[in-house]
Order: sequence, then structure tokens, then C-alpha cells
Amino acid sequence: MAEMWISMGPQHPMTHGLWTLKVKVDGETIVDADPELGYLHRSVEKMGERRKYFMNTTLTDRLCYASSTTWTHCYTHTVEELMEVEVPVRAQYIRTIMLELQRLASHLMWAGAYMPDLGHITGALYFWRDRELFLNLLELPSGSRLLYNFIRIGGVKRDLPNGFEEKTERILKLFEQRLDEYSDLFENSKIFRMRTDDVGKFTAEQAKNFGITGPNLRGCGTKFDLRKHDTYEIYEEIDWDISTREAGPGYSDCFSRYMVRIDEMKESVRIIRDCFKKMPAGATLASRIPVRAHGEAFRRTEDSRGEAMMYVVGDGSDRPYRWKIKSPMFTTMSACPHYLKGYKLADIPAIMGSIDICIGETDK
Amino acid sequence: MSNEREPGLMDIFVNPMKVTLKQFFKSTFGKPTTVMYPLERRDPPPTYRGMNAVIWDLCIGCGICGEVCPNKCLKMKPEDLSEQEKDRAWYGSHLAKRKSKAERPAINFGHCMFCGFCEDYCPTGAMTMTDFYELADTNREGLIYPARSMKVELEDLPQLPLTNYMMESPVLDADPCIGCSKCVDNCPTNCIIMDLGPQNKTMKSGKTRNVENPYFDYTICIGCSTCVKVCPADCLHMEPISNSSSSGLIPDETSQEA
Repeated sequence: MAEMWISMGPQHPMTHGLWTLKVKVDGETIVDADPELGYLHRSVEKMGERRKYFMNTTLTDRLCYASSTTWTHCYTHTVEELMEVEVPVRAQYIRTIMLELQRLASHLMWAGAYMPDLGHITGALYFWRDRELFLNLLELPSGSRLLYNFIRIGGVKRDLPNGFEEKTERILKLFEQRLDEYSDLFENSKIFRMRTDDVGKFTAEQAKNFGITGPNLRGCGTKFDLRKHDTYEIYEEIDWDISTREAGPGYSDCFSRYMVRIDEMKESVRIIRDCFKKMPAGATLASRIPVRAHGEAFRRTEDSRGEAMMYVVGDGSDRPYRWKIKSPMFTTMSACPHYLKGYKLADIPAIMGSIDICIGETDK
Repeated sequence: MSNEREPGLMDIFVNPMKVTLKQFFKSTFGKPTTVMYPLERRDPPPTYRGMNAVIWDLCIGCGICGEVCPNKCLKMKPEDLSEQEKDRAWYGSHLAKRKSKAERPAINFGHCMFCGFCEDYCPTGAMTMTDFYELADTNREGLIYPARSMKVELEDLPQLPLTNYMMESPVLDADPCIGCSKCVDNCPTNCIIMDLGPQNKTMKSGKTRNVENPYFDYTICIGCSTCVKVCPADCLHMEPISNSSSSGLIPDETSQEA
């Protein structure tokens, strides 16, 4: 049968964000694929070189609106190493709480976006109903629902407001009941399992070769999490486990990638509770924060989607000389020809949705 | 693990129906999730970042808010102050009296992203953010708010100490200083005084005389770098606070008293 190229995107319900997936099909079967980027390029790195170090937290917030705190944290973490700033312990605890709340909101956002991909629009409403709880929580200290600008170089903007711990505990309790509802609604649902079981398979070996990180790698059963393996903030003092899941020996499918995110949300709940238990009193911002920096710094953190890396070079002025952002989704998306091959055209939304694409950070 | 066994009738039909019915009764007979917007409003948290307001008598016109704005949507514009306002002006009153027109911040809300940096870096606490968010307008010019439209008058002013959030202070490089005292005229906190320089200078004409140099009171310097910008001889530069306070050009305790 004759092969042909089909262009999915840039305006297509499958593409979360603006990008094109060109697929070569033989009948219904995918033979080849070619992802194309560049529709959402805003030259964030160049814009950052024209602004002072502390102003760039507003840009990093806008890298990914579903997970803005983790990106801002990656940036401040790098700049703190460049400027040799000591972050107070209480600020580190507050940061960890904010990061985990953001991870919960981001995973819920992903799950809510994934369900309509599978034709399950009701699922989107259930997940987004609960995402709202965490957005309300994140709004309390930062004053904004999506773009928080809360984590600053040298600490956080302000201390947690009164009654934040009780409110968080109430919402976490409610959320744990909701997690049981999800297992009733989705994990055992025949329709959901038919769309996700044994679809979009890749092995742990392949994932490491492609540079796939984060929940997509842990979905293959590999225990790798930068919060444990290249630890930062106070993650090593907190009692938590890396959540992994595999569909079979050493490989993942869409369902295991869904499950690993659900398990990660349970772990995030654990981390937040432990943080509140161990949080000391004290300052929330370093007393001395330099404005000029010389040298170079490189850090990587565990974003909601994988390994976020940043590299900043300072030439002694108050603006970065060079700023490089490495997005985990860029490598994961680039590998899509390998794990799309052999599946049917109708599986593309299920496979590409399951890796949690965010074009804002990929295209920058 | 629940995902490894074969789903039975309970899993496929009964449990999902339980969840659906629970949500159905909750959303049909319970409290509505949404807010009937124009009639009722959601309570924003106390930290909410909405439209800006300027506490009029606290503003000293230093321009730090415009300096730290990442979008450059905030510009300092000349503003006519009445005599009463000049008297009430807390710290920058000397500047308001000296210059014919004082400068106050004007914001283009069409460009503003409500990051809150202007509020955080304001050295006197004059720039604040309110919980007002209904800023839509029919034309672009309507989105440019002059300072007077954001004016807020407070009965009793909070007497906050001046804080240097910029973490930098000016340092004099005495050699090229021509003693014009422009920095003194433009300093918003009046923290600069002119005094005799460290040594005599030889002029072009061959005469030797002492040129007056600026001295900074770093306890009230806010790091706005206005003096660096207005200096015609390029003899000032900004340095981190710890460096500048150890530099040799600061008058010590005895000379300040004198």
C-alpha cells in the first residue's frame, strides 16, 4: 500500500501547545514520524540576558504555566550557586512545600488534559476539580493563581500565611479520598485500560539512550529521581520513596506512565506532611544577596516532567552573560519516532499525551 | 496491586457509578462551585497582586520601581505637586521643593504582568498592590494610568525606615570628580553632602585648588543609582553594600559630626 505523510498540528487537539507531528502512515500503521518545533519560540534565553538576575524569575515562571514554581526554582538554584548564596533552612522547607504542591497541580493538569485525548472528557473535569484545590493553596502565600513569582534568589518572597498548615492538611485529606475515586474511575475502567495497556511501549534501555527522564523513565521501573540522586533543598531529610511502576519487565506503556504519576502524587502528599512536621522557625530570605556575579554555574533539578537543567554564565555585571535552559520534554519528544512506530494512527493521542508534553518549556 | 487483576463487575460498573452519583448529588444539591461573577465576587487572598496604588506622601520619586520592572511598563513622569502636598511629602520633600516638577510613577497596565517587583523593591513602601483587577478598557490609551489616578492618601503614615533592597551603593572615584554637586541636587533621600576633597587638584590653567567631593550617608542610601546616572564626569559607580562601606572615601564618625 502507498505510504503518505500526515501533518498533525500545529492546530490539532492532540498537540498540547503549538507543534507539528508529521507521521508517515502505511494504511493505519505508523511507519515514521517527525516532530517539528518552533511555533512557540519566544527567545526566553536572550530576553533573560537583557534583564537583571532577579528579574528573570518572572520569565522562568512563564516557561511552563502548569509547573511554574519548579522552573523558577531551577533558575534560582543555579544563580544561588553562581552567587554563593546561603538559603535559610526555613526558606528551603517552604520551597519544598511549594514545589510539591506545584508537582501535584502539574500532574493533575496533565491527567486532566490526558483524559480528553482518550475521549474521556468527564475525566478532565474530575482532575481539574482537584487541581483547583491546589491552585487555591498556592495562591495564598504568593498572591497569584498560575504565575507565582514566589521563589526568589536567596529564599522565598514571604513566610507562609497564618493557618496555611491547617488548610493544607484539610485539602490533603480530601485529596487522598479523591485519589481513591480515581482508582475507581480510571484504573479499573475497561475503556481506559483498552486505550492505554500495551500502547507506546519503550524499554528502560531505550529510554536511557534517548535521554528520557522523569516519570516517563520511572514508568519503566527504573529508580531514578534527582531529588534522591542529586539531592537539593532538604529532600534528603524528608521521609519519602521514589515511585516506580512497570508494565512488564523493564518496559513501560501508557498505563504505567499514568500510574507512576498517580503514585508520585501520593508521595508528594507524604513529603508535604513531613515538611510541616520538621519545619523550623527562622528567616525566609538570605541576609546578603549579591546582584553581580562572575563565573559559571550548572544545576539540575527534578521538574514535574523530568530533568530540568540550567546553565548560567556571569561576566561580573548584574545581568547573565549566557543562560541556557535544557527542557526534559525536548529530548522526550525528539525520541517519538522510536516509540510511535508500529502503532495505529488512533494511538497517537494516547501515546503523545502520556509523556506530558509542555511546549512552553520545550520551545522556550 | 489493583491494576494487575482482571477487573470484575464491581470495578467496571458499581464503583465508578458510586463516584459519579456522589458527584452528581453534590453538584446538584450542594453549594455551587462557580461564582455568579458580576453580582458576587470571589474573595482574593490578602497577598493578591492587583492594580497598583501609590501612597502619595511616602513616594520620594526615586524611580526604583521603574528600574526593577521587567517589562519596563512603569515610567517616571513629571507631576505637579501642590504646596500642601510638598509639605506633607515625607522624605522626598526637599526634592519636591528644589525641583520645579517632582517625578511620580505612571504605569501602562496594558504591558504590566503584575509580578509585584515594584511593590517588593520600593524603599519606602509607597508602591502597593490592591485587590482591584477590573482594568479592562475600550482603548489602549485608557490603560496608561498616570500617578495621580493611583493616588492613595493615608491619615497616619507608617514611618518605615528606608531600606536598600537594591543591595548596592554608589562609590566615588575621586580623581575625575569636578565638584558639580548634581548628585546632591538629584538624590531622593538627601543622603549626599559636598565637602572638601582628599587632595588638591591641578587645573588646566595650572592653578591648584581643592575640588569639593560628594560624601554618602550609607544608612539612608536606597541604592537607586540616580547619582550615577546624572554624573557628567562618570566618577560614580555602584558596588555591593559590603564593599562600598569598607571603601576609604566614607567620612568616619568624627568628620560626620563636624
